Amino acid sequence: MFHITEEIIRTNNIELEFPSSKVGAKSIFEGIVRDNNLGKTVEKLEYQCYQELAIKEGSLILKEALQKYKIDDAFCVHRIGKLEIGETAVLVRVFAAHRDDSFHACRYIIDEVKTRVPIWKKEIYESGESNWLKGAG
Amino acid sequence: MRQMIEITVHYFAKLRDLTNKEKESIKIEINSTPKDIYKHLDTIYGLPNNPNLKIAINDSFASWESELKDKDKLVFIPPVTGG
Repeated sequence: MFHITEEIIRTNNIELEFPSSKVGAKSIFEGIVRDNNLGKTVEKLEYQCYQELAIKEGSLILKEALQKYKIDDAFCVHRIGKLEIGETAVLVRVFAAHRDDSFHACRYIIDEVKTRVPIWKKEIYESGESNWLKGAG
Repeated sequence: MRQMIEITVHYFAKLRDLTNKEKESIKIEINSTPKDIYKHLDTIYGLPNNPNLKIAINDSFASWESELKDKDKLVFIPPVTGG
């Protein structure tokens, strides 16, 4: 399941139950707001999202991960709106029988989300200036 | 005279800041393409000349050459920067 939320993401709020007793590995990746980028002091971030297409594309990425790797379940949530330093912007969670598939699928999902899902990040600096990041395109 | 249709254009990120709009309805000639619309909007707002923009029509990825139909929802997608 791929979700977009305006609420604070807390690991213990996310559905983390094991999907079956065959699961032997759980990988979680969290992308966190940091206080600097390219030499500038970042005060907060703002994420904007094209929700309809983001959910479609995000769900497709999870489906691809399920086909590509031997995993039992994949989940991703991305936050939008204004985020403070230290808050979680994106969380990926994968369950698998073994760690290799679990790690690789987790990595695949976050990499694809960052390049394909229509979400944009604006950095708001200490100086009061702000800037939409350019992205890899 | 060519038939006119109405579409809605939605703006995100830098394009939203430049247009100062989340969305707007515009009247265009039937069979216009996103390329035609972007050129037209550029004359109004001075949009970035960015070859990496992608297109979505009715919430699916589409091409710059797609022919737009009445009531279509058109989105110009700047390079994404989530995560």
